[in-house]
Amino acid sequence: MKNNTKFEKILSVATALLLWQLVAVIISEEVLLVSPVKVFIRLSELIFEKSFWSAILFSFIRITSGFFIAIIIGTLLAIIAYRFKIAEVFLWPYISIIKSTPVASFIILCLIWLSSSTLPIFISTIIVIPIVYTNMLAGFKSTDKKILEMAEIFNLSFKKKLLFIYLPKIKPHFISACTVSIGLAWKSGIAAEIIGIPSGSMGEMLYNAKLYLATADLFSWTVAIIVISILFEKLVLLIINKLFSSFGGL
Amino acid sequence: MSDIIIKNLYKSFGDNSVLENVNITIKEGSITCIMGQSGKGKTTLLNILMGLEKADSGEILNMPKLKSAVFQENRLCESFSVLSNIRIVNDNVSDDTILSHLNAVGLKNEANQQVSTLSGGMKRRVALVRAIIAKKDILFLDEALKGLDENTKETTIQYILDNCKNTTVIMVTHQKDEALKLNANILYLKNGQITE
Repeated sequence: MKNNTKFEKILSVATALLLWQLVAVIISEEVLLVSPVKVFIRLSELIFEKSFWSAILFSFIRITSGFFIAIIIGTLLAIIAYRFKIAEVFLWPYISIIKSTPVASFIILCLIWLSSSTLPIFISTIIVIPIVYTNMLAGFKSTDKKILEMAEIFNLSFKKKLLFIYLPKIKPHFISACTVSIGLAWKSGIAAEIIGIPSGSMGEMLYNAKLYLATADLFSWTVAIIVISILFEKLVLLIINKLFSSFGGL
Repeated sequence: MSDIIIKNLYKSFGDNSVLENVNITIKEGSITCIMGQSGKGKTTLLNILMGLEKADSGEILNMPKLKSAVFQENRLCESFSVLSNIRIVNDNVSDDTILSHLNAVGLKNEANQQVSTLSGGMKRRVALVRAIIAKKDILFLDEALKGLDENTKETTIQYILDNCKNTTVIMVTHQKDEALKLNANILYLKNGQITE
């Protein structure tokens, strides 16, 4: 069954690449649409360039920092909101505004206050916080009140309550928050880099590719961002699962 | 420690008066069984005594601080093993002791099994062993033998008797034979009031 799904996935990717190649051949204009073969060739050239890896490192450090800061802040806010209803009420407008404001508005606004190199950290943080907060709060709220009463009767310590009652409930919500927000952190972080153009970032490389109509570069950098985002997501989920399973029973 | 005295206890939910001037003295170290029809306030009374609900008025004197309970629902941590669920309430108890308790209720082989994989009757017995293992001065049993077949019920009653000597037990049940086998002092809750 698992092999079947894997085969289906490979088949769907191969079909998409074939379709892309077909459309590129029909258009026959590299500036408009470059073929996957050309992208592959350009990408295999780029990976031997030092600037490729330094740009990846530059963006990776900033965007993942933003993601982890948001995980911490979002979780803390969810704990406070779960503990004090009034905090949830007062946080609601901020969370709603961040959720519905276009990322570009934030980027332009924040560019006035922050340097272009710190902008991706701030933007990915601010975009991820509401997702983590909402999911974690839902996780805390899904905790069975009757189980908490049991904990009260048996005088369970905070550590035991966290381990046996809260963590099993939070786990799926936390995983869901991470899965959704990693992609968003990368999208918003790169968008911040494209607008802010910090020197030596992946965003700058994308901007330059667009500026010089280097479509093969544009696609290559995009592929690189997608691959890094997916790998980072897999790594984070692996670490989360390992961490939770180390507690036993989760 | 001394006898628990419940004085002039009242509780209502909206217009529905559940407890009306309940007065009980529960002897220290005895087993007291509260019987009555479903939905007549037995669990509410137990919850008030456990401190999980507040009475509208009345007093409860000499209620011990260390409480243990089998709730109406099992209230187990489903994703953890039977052993973990029991060890959670008492750090000072050894695995061997827990296993001997599990053996007494016919669950020795299930010790390392995840609770969610157990049957309803098995979960009920895990909840009971957890309540017995916990450090306690008083034990509350809310239909603790619910869902057990006759043979299992017999061994479980014996398990309670063996492990609750000199422990104050307040239980709720519909089955008079359970109360009689546990040599309990039977009280009836009818129309919100207690009668012997």
